[in-house]
Amino acid sequence: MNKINIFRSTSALALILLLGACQGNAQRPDTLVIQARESVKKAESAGAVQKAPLAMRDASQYLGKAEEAMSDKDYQEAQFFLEKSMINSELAIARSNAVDAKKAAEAINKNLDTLESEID
Amino acid sequence: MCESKLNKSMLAIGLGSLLLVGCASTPKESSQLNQLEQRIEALASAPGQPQRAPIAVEEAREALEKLRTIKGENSAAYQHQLYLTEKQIEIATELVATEEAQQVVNSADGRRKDILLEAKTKEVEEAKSLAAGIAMRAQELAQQVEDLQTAETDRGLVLTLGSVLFESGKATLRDGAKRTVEKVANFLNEYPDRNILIEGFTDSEGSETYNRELSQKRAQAVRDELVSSGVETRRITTEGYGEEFPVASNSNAEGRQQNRRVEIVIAKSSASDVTSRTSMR
Repeated sequence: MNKINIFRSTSALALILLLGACQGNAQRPDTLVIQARESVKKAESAGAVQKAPLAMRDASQYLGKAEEAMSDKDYQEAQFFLEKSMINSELAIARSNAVDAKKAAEAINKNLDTLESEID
Repeated sequence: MCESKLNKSMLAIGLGSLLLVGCASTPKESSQLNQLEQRIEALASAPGQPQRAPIAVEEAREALEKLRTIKGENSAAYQHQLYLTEKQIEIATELVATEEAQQVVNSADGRRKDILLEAKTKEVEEAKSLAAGIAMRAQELAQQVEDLQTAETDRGLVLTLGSVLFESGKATLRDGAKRTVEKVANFLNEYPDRNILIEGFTDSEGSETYNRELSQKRAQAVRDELVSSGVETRRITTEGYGEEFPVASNSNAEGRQQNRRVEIVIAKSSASDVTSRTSMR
């Protein structure tokens, strides 16, 4: 009985160690979590929800997955998800800015075309 | 053995299938990496000076370099870095597009100026050819009408009507002069958008006040005759200068006759007024 218990606890320990080895030496990416959350907020306030919905959705979803991985203490996985979230936030902002700039350029081209046709 | 066969077929099949195969090792120069590199270099050579979004492009290059160092195409680390590299390229693409659009915005002022300048040049040329046309028509008129001279001046085209229009000391047109003025009116009506200044002048005989009044009345008499021949009143301004601005000597009869005159100045462009002589003093 006692033997079995010892065997059980050692195998449990081994399993934990094994899992630990799988997860590598990853530390809790707490700073990255904060940064990723801020990045999502930044993207949202850049209007990315409307202007870059796909990137914005990915940024939010990966942040959610990262938070799950954090609570599972799977820090390596969490770090990957956080990095994916952040790069999508960055992309969402870049795309939103591009949308704005293209709109402005389009308006100006239209304006100049009108000016040109009015003159001719 | 299985691996090398798989690798060859994978290259042939393409990139997507890489993800599905669990047991493959990494070919150093996969077509996937080459494709990523091509996308980055295409961004780096996007037209524009200086290079568009150089930092983002460099970051994409660095991401790709890091990807090359990771062993095992199917390792989580490799797949993760692949994802980041692709996103980094997308970011650089958006930044390049943003800068290109901003270039359009920034150059708008210059382009607007170019368009306006071109239009202005065209307008000036048209005005020149129109002015030349008017001057030519005026010369034709001068040939038809006795006692009428034309001259192009800075103020505009000047039609000078000689003293034969009026009886000496009077401000009513002779009967014969009415036909002359009528012809001038027809000419003026060909250019209905030009304003007109009618200036009366006398010789130096008589008092200055009298001469000024007489010249003013004569200018008005010409105006009234033009109006009755269909020239719009609002186009016309009159001035009487008396003996001012002589064109010849008042010490002999011939010179005095030249000084007794009415000048009709036609504005150089539409909707502008003829510059008054008094404002030029």
